[in-house]
Amino acid sequence: MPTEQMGAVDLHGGDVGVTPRWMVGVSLVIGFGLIFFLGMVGGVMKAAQGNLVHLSPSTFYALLTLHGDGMISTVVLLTAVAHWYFLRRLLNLRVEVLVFAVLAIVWGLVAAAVAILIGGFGPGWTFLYPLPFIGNTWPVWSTGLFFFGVLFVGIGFAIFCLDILAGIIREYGVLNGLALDTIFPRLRRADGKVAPPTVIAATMVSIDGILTAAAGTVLVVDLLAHWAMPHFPVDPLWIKNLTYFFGHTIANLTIYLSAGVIYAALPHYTGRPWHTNRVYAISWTTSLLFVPWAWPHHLYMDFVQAPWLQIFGEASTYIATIPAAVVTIFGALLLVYRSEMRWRIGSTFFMAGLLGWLVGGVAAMIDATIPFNEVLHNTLWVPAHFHTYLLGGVFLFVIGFASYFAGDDAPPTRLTKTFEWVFFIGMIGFLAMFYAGGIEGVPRREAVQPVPGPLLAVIGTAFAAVLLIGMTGLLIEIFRRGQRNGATHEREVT
Amino acid sequence: MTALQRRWPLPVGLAVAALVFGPLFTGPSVPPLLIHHMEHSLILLLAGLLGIAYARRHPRLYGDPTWLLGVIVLATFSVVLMLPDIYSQVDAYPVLHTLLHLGFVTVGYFGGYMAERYSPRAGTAWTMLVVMMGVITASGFGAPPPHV
Amino acid sequence: MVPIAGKQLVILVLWLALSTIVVIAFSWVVSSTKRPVPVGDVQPGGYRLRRLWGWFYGTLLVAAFAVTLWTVPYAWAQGSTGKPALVVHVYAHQFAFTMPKKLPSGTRIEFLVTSLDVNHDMGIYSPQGELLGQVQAMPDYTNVFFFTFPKPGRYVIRCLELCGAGHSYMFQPLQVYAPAPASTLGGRSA
Repeated sequence: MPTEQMGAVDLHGGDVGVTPRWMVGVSLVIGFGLIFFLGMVGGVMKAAQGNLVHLSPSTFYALLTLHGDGMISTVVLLTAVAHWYFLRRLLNLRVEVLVFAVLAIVWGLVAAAVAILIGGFGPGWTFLYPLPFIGNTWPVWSTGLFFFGVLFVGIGFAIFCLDILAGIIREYGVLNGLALDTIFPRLRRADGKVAPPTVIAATMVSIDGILTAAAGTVLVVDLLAHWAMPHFPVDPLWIKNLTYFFGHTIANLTIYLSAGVIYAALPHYTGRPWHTNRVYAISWTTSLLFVPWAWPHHLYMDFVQAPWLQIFGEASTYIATIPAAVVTIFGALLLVYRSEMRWRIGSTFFMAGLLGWLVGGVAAMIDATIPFNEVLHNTLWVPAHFHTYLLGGVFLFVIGFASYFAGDDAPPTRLTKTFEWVFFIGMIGFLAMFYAGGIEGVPRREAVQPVPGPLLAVIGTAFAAVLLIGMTGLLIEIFRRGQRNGATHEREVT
Repeated sequence: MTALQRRWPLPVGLAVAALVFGPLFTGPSVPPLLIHHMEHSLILLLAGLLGIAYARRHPRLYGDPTWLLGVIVLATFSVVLMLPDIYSQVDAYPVLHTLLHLGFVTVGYFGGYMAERYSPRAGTAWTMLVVMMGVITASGFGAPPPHV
Repeated sequence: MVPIAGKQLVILVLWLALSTIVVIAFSWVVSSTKRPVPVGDVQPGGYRLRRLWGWFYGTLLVAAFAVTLWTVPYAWAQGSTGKPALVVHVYAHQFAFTMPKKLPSGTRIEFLVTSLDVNHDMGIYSPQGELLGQVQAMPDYTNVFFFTFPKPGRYVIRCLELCGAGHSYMFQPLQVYAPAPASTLGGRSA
C-alpha cells in the first residue's frame, strides 16, 4: 500500500500473510532450537577441556567460534523479537520489517555456520585482527564468508533499530521517547501522553543500536577490504577498539532489550502498573550516553591505549551500572515487594533473571576495575560473568517471556517446579566452575587448560548436562501448557 | 509549512554543490585522511537531507517497507566508497575526485529519500546512521598503524 | 589447586559478599509477597529507600574509582617511582615468546612487549600457579609494562589471547633468580 496518505497508512497490514503473533512464535522456536544446539556445542567443548572427549585444537576453536557467534546472534534475535512483541502496539510497527530483520540475522548465522563447520574458521567470535588472516588453519573463503555473516547479523539488527526508532520519532520524537518531557515542561504534549517505560528502553536501544550497527558495518567492510586486498592497511589498535565497540555493545544491548520486556510483562504478574517518571528519563538517558563508552574495558591490558580512554572506559562502565542497579532492578523489586504476586513460570524467571543480571553485573564491575582486570583479563572469570549475564539473566528473561507469550498462566505444578530446580541447580553449578577457574587464573579460550582447569571442566560438563535437561523439559512444558490454555489469546499491553 | 521549512533545501543544496565541485577549483590535493572522511560524510549527510526533503513533498508515497532494503544496501555501500584506495586513485585528478563526490551525493540522496519513503521520519534515523558511520570512519578507516 | 591469595582473594571475597547481599535482598522481596498490601502503602517508603540507595551506590562508585586511579598498572601512573628499571624486550609470535630465559627477582623490570604476528598476551604465573599480572602483545605497537618478580623460582609465561591452533601450548618457563649486584645485570638501565 505504498500510495496511501501518511496519516492513513495501515501499519498493521498483513500483506505478506504473516501475523505478528506467528512471527514472534516462529522466531522463538528458531531461537530456542539454536540455543539448544549451541548449548550442546558448549557442553562438548567443556567435555573436551575435561578430557572426556577428544577434539583437535582447530576443531575446538572452530566450535568456540560457532558457540560465541551463534549465541550472541541468537540472543540478539530472541530479545529483539520479545521487545518488539510489546512495542508493536505502542508504536504501530509493521511485521514485514521484523521478517526482514529476522531473515537477515538467520542468514548471517547460516553464513557463519558454513564458514565454521565446513571451512573450519576459528579465531573466536571476536575475530581479532590479524588472526583471521595470519598463520591459520582455515581456507581464505571461510574468512570472507564469516565476515559477510557478521555483516548480515549487523544489518538485521540495524533494520530492527531503524524501524523502531522511526516508530518512536513518529509517535513521540526522540526526546519524548526518552520521556524527557517529564523533566522539561516545554516538551510536554497537549494530550499529556508520556512514553511508557518499554518505549523509553526502545529509544535507548535503537539509538545505541544504530551506533553499534554503524561501527559493525565499518569494521566488517574494513576487514573485507583487507581480505580482498591484502595490501589494504589496518591499524591493529584501531580495529581492536572497533571490534570491542561493536561486540561489547551489541551483547550489552540485549539486557536493555530485556529490560523493556520486564517493564511490559512484570506488571501482568504483580498487578501493579509500571509508571514513567523523571527518574526513568534520567536513568535511560544516562544509559544512552554511557553504554557505548564502556568498550575500552576490554583493552585495559593494551597499555599503549590512550590513557583517557582507559580511565573514561572505567568511569563509563561504572556510571552505566547506576541506571540498572538504582532504577530498573530496584524498581522491579519495589514493584514486587508485598504485591499480590502471582508466582508463575514467567514471573519466577523474570525475578531470577534480574538476580542473575545483578550477580553477573557485580562480577563484570570487578573485572572492569583496572587493577583487578590485571589478574582477571582473559581468564575464565570473563566467561563466568558474561554467562551469568546472558544465561542467568537475558536467557531467563526470554524463557519468562516465552511462558507469558504462550499464555502459560497456570500455577506451577510439581513437574514444572522439578524442571525449574534442575535448571537452576545445573546453571549455578555450571557458572560456579567458571568463577572458580577465573579465581585460579585458568585462561579462557584454551583447548587444553592448565590445572585445575580440566577438573573444573569435568564438573562443569556434568552441571551443563543437568542444565540442558532442565531447560529442555521446562521449555516443552511451557509450550504444552500454553497450548492447553489456548495459545490464540492475545493480551492487552498497557 | 513555514518559509524556513520550505526553503532550507536551497542553502543545503548550495553547500552540497560547493563541496562536490570543490576539487575542480582547488585542484589536485591530498587532505589528511581524517578530514577527507569527514568531508565525504558531510556530503552524505547533506545529500541525505535533500532526499528527505524531496520525499516529504510527496507524502502519499509513504509506507512501503521494501525501501528499507535499498537503505541498508546504500548505507553499506557508502563505507565501500570511503576506501582510501579509491581516494588515492582519484586525488590527483580533480574531475575523478568530483565524480567520487557525485557518487556520495547519489548514495546520500537516495538513502535519505528511500528511508523517508519507507516510513515517515525514518529519514532522520538514516541520517543519524550516516553521521555515526562518518565519525567512526574518520577515527581510522583504512589508516595504517602510526609508525609503519 | 592454586592457592588463592593477593588480589584474587580480595576479588573472591568481594564478589561472594556482594552476591550474598543481592541474594538475601531478593529472597526478602520474594517472601514479602506472602503478606500483600496496596501499592500506595509501599511506594513512598520505596522511593525514599531508592534515593538513599542511589546516593550510597553513587558514593561507593566514586570511592572505588578514586582508589583504582592510584593503582593502575600503566607507565604514566608508575613511571615516577624513581627506581632503576631493567629493560627487557619481549617478542610474542605463534607460538612462543622470544625473551630472556632468566630474570632477577626484586628488580623493577620494564617489559617492552610486542608481537610479530597476531595478538598475544603475556601472562605471568608464579611458581605456585597464581596469575600475577599480564599485558597484551599487539603487532605494530609496543606495550610498556612494569613488573617486579616478588621472589626467585620457576615462573611460567603463558599466552592469554587466542592466537591460533597452538594457543594452549604457548607457555614457557622463566627462571627468576635472587638479585645480583646491579652492575652484572644484562640489559641496559633506564
